Amino acid sequence: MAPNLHEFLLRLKALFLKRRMDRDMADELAFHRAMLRDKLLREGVPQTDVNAATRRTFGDPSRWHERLRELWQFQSLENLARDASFSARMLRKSPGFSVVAILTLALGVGANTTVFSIIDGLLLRPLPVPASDRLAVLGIHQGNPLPNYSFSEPLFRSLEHRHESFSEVIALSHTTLQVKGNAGSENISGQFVSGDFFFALETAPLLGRTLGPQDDHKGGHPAGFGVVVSESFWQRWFNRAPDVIGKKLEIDNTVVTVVGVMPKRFIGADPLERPELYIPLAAEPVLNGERSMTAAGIHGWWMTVMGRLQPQATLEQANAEMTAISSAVLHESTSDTGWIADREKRHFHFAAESGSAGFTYVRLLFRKPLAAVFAMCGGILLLACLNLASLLLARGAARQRELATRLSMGANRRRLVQQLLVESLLIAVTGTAAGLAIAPLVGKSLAAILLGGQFDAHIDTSLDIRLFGFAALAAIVAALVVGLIPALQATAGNLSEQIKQGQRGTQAHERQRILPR
Amino acid sequence: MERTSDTGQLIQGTLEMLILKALALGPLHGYGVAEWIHQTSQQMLKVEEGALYPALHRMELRGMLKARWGASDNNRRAKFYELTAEGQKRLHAEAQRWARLSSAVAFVMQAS
Repeated sequence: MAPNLHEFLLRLKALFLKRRMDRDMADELAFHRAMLRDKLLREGVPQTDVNAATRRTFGDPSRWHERLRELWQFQSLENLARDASFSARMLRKSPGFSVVAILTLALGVGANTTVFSIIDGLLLRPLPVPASDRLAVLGIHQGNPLPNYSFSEPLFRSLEHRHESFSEVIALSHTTLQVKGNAGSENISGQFVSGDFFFALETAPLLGRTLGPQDDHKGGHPAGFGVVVSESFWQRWFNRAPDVIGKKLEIDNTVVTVVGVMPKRFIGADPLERPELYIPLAAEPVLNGERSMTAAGIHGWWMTVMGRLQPQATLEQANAEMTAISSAVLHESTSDTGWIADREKRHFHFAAESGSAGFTYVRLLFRKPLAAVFAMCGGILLLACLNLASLLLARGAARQRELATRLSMGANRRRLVQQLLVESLLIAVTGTAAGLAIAPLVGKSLAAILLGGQFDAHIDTSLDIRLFGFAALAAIVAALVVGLIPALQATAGNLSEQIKQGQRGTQAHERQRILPR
Repeated sequence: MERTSDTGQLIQGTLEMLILKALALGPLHGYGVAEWIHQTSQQMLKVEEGALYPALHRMELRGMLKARWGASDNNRRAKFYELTAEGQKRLHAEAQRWARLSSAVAFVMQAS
């Protein structure tokens, strides 16, 4: 290890003192020539012949200099840099090929990245709240293959206080609210949230306070129902007035009081929604009147229930606890014994599953179609790569002579393969960058089509680290798939045969097909 | 592009050993090393410059030699090489290896 380290340090020094090293090498060689010249003069060679004689014994000094310089370089690194610039030159020399290759990959990678960005936004991206991996989503099993993720109000109210593994159990439900403004009413996206909602999501307000259990009572806070608004609503409606706390809003003919403003990054617990108003669950019967879901009692399935795990609790413990208390909750929620008996016959029980990405109903609808589309896009990318590989194969055949010449001039095969791979990597990286550039735009419109305008929903398809990682992986794999076989193929075989046949043209690559017909 | 082993009549390892030996007597510049080998071998061995300098630099990189700039006899700026502890060790090992090898070759050639 020590000699290697020594060598590495010396090379590093040479890299930084390149100019001085160069001068020193030239000086050293010049000294040698001068000594040689002195010796020749001493031996009686006439002055006029000395120069020629020195050159004859010493050879070409610039060649030795080059050899020494190579010795001090980080060979592989500097070779790579040289390969990259050479590859760029080769690609610029055949713009037709380059454009087709890059566009082919851009389409393949673009399609994949787009679909991946939707999968990422819908399924993978964690909620922007602290320790989102400690969140869980609750579901109800009652004999169907898939659990039911909608709860009715009595079930939730019973669960809200009966838990040990969870520090909070919360409920939320999307709603559209009519807010009375100066110029008539406006429909605003909102969420009904239970008392512990903001505590479970551990996000502090920008202004004022969040809603708490004291707001989620029948009749609300002594001063009437409170409401928390989003930063964008605060900006649009109140023009960011600092004295917004305490202002009244008329929502669905009910006057409520603004108690707090949430920062922009907070999006609630449904990753597809961007609620602007957060209203206590207990206000639902008042706001919705005759259409109230709360009034439907045990038969109104309308809310999503989530929990935050206690610091020491595991998801398995929580799941077991939920199953254990199912029967008690069921009995507490209703006095309809016939209904309870029916549910118990179907093995009614609660279950907890990971909820780091929050819960959204759309996910259930699109998980399978998205997987199918993703697989299809993978196929498309593979096709694009194969097309490109055959393009490169043809190009390799056309470049047979150039490659054979370089081989005969002393380049070894590994270096040539490396250079050809760098060339395809360059294509792949450019193509991927182009694909990545168009992915968010296409992703946005695709998300809009997927959601069909039914929901005022929003899939976050912006670029993030996971997306970049995916694209980088796609680029590298594509480069290897595309480049390796043509590179090996093009540099294989008998050298001099290829130089000779290269002149005669076509029959050479007749035999070069990988797959016989 | 690639390095070809262009060491004249000398095998690579042997050249390194001769360089180590030349420097065992004290610091020398590259020309001095070539001259010393040439003279000491009774003009039998001629070290090509194209082999000498890459070898010197490679040995410097591996830590067998240490280089320093100084003035030559006729007051020119020259690069002097000297052995490091690592180089001394290497010379010792090489000399032993060479003695074994040459006596083995001699045995074979004298066999009748």
